Amino acid sequence: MRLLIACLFCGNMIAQTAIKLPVLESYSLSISEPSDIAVSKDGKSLFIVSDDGALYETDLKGNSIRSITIGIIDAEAVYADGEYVYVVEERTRLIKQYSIKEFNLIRTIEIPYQGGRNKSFESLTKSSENEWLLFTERDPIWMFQLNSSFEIINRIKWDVPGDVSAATWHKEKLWLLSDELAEVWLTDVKSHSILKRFKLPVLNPEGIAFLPNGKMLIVSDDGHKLYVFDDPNLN
Amino acid sequence: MFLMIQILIKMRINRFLLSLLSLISFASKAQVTIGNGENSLEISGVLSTYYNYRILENGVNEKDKNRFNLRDAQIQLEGREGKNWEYKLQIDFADITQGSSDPENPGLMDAWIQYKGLKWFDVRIGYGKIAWSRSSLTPFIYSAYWQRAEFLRGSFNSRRDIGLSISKSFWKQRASLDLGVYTGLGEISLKGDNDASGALEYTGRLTLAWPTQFRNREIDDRHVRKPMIGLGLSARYTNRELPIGAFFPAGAASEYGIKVINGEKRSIGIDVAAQWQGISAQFELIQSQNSPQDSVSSFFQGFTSQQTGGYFISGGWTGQLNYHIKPLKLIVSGRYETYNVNDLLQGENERFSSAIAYQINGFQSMIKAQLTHVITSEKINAPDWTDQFRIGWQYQF
Repeated sequence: MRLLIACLFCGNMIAQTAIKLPVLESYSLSISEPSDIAVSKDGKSLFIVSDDGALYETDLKGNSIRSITIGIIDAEAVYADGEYVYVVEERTRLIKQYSIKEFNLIRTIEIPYQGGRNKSFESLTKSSENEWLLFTERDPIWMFQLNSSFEIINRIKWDVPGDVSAATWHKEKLWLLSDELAEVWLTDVKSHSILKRFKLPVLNPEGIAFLPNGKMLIVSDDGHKLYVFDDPNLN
Repeated sequence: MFLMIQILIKMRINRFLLSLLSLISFASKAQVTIGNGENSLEISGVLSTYYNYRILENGVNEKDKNRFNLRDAQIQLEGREGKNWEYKLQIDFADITQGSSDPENPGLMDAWIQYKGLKWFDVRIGYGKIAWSRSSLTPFIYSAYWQRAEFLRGSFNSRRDIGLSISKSFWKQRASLDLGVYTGLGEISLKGDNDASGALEYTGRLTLAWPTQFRNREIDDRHVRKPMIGLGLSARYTNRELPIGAFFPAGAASEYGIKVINGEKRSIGIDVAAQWQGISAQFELIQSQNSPQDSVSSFFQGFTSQQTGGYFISGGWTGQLNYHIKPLKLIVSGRYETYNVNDLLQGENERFSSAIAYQINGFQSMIKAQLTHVITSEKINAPDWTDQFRIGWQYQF
């Protein structure tokens, strides 16, 4: 009987204790429902997408420098490299590629996925092996590995509790953000497991990125705020 | 909770429950979406079945409520066309096949379209929930209970109707305003015609929240690290004057005969919800001032219009406290409610309910048990039972 009860109640539990991270700074955003954040390659600006269908380039305090209506709603993920910024729309399963210089649409790619409408793609990042990593939010959490042409080359299920609302690649590691648990996870992408957990004092965190100096940025969707944390690697 | 355990023992249901739990090793993840890059349609549904057991008043022998009941066999189609159009169709086949007109659990649950392309507000037309009462607006699957508080189940005021509503959120979604106009017969409006008065019902609801928007949920399963609070203020008005000899459609006045009256009905509602680190609480108060056209209406219980002012009051309040025990995947909850069908009748109704739910996969797959104990009741509306126990499984696909 004890074994039965243990099996019932302990599935999906994580052994590690989450380390609490204090907020260094926070800034109110004028962006409605910010849902993800990316740092430009030079580290001087940020790209933020919103649920109401806009892409913003902002300064490091979240003040808008320029914006573009992207014609889609429910934009949930953003990734930037030196030339392009990529926006993922959860509902339509589209990835839109924009030129950073011109700030215009270059191409649109559809990644078919038949899961729940609001349980689809919320996270996009690129590994050091130049592979795109595209995550579904939950039920289940899939990590799609895509080549540089956005062709699916593999799909791996992550059996972790909660959800994945954002992903970023930092110091050769994959970092995931869970909105439901308000946690950042340092992960091992090969064993698709969590190495370290960090607890955030943030409501509805939906986006994660790292500055070149290692400081971690989190955006809160419901809170309309940008938070700055110390590099969690220091903990 | 102690009483619940006693009843579990009495029913020898603990073995049944543990056997059932031991069989469950999977979770629901079957929601699917089809789309073409511009439009999308999500298909989902809910199945739920419970066993109901009542302890009857002395001298009552009808045990027909001791039975299994298929509460939900729902299918839900929810879609978007482009950026501006949304629609939803939700049907509960369990209630359609039973011919049920239970306002808490109707056959047709949603059938509406919404346009979001206007700058100032969104427009919705069709049949669905009225922006009225936080409890009513909270989806059933997000509750540990099998039944809402008695006066919020739709017998005092309708929960759904056919009509037109506009909504707008502002202040970074911390505030929202909903205004609506409906046929006014509630769930019975689906039968077709209005009553002979031809009157409509007007509704409004303002919500405020801090520090962020507060969704219609009872349980803090996220264990938010900052206290959150939400306040709702609701109002509705209708004035129905039936011609002599005319009657309301069957069922419109509902179980207590006060849901729709031949006269003026002004209702207000206040609700507060808060949550922090797994603890959550809700409070809700509803009051209706009912002014029948007929000054010698039976509602007045023989009192003169000088004594009553020409109206009677119906309504009640409820308070609920919940705790989500994350490591055990459990929700425990207690709820007190008191309500009065007619303040001109002596006495009030009081009930206490407790609930416990085990989350196999969050709210998507959950075993729920609820015990309701009747503390006191108005003589005229007294139930023939003292305690009711329900246990069952809800599954969302």
